[in-house]
Amino acid sequence: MPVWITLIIVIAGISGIVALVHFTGGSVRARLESKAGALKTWLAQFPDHPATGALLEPTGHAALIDLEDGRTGILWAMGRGAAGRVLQGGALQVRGARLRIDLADFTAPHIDVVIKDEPVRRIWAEALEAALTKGDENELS
Amino acid sequence: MNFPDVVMLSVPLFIGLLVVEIIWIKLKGKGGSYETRDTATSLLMGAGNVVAGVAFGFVAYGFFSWLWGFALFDLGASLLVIALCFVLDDLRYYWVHRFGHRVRWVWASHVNHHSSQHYNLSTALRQTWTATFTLMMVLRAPLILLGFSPEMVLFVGGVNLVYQFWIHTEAIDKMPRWFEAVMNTPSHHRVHHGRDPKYLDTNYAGVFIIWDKLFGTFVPEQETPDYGLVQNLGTFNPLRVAFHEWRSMLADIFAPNLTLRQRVAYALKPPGWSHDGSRKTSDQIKAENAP
Ligand SMILES: [Zn+2]
Ligand SMILES: [Zn+2]
Repeated sequence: MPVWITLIIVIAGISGIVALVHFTGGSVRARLESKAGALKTWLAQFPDHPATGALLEPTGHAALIDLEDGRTGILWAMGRGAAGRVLQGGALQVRGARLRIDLADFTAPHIDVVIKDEPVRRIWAEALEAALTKGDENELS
Repeated sequence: MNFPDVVMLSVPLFIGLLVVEIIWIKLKGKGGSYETRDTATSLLMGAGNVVAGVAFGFVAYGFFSWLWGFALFDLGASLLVIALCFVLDDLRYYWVHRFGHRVRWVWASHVNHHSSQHYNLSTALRQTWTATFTLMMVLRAPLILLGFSPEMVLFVGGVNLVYQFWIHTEAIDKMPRWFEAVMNTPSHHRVHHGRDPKYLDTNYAGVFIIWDKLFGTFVPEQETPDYGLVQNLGTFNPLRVAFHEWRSMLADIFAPNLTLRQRVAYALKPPGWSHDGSRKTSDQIKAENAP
């Protein structure tokens, strides 16, 4: 079988299955329902970084986590799962409703948080700026 | 004797069963979950694994062919010999897999199989692109030197891999008791994919769970595992999934101000080992969480 036919079959097969997953509800993102829920999710992912409080993004797709050591963590929906990182170093870009956090982390290079509500977005942007600068001081400990 | 390429022949079966599982989960509302981008990543990892096999397969095959010239016997290809080869190769798989979790150099390749937070048939296809670079083909050398032909050894390895496809599911709870006792099953392998401390580095089996029971790595499934890595990835990008641990390991090996011994340790000690104790290995995580 020529390579190009194989390639077409593979691409069609993968696209077909991915489309099936999408149309059976597979693109629904995880939602953090409450602060307590966010803290529980955080602790499950980062048992060595105990948290004291959480700031939920209104749709529940992300949360900022106050850590006992004064630093800030971020939790965000990775599809139906969640990923988190302790913020240390990095940069914030604001593009319309989207806050993009660029991290020097090969496994989490960009985190996007979309916040429609302007005042809430401002609170988040300020909190993130503060967290990223604070994280800079003890960078890559 | 010519052996078929069982993995490629099974691709239609893989696709068919994936479709069945996706629809089954949708209809029943239980038995696991599929996520769009996660599935796409798993399938692309599977396709990339095949490409890598075509690109680098000659290394292992060349090595086996060379070894075959030194084989002590030629055991032929009777059914009994093939069956014996299959069982011994499954023991080989157990150890490759155990090294895959206990030696960072090998983990760098294997980690991607554990990088999904989901557990479904697509997770089975989330295979490495970099297996050749682990050099774990040396563990097949004894089989070939004993007189099992390279073609047969590759064939039974393929059958082993195909067997492991169906166990990546939450749709099956438990198999009959006798089966669970001898064979690797969805229940046993779910444990292997758990990031829960007590599940870390357990149930390395390919086909027969007896190896884990024999070598003390067996843990039965109790609560539903939390699937994924100790630190989960924040990206679905297949390139990052494939290479992230190689990258971070090489960064550690070539970090400034380390002794040669420390550099070697970064390659050969278990994942999570660090020269200054700033990270945790699975042994430490388990010790801290021991009941
Ligand atoms: Zn494994
Ligand atoms: Zn697996």
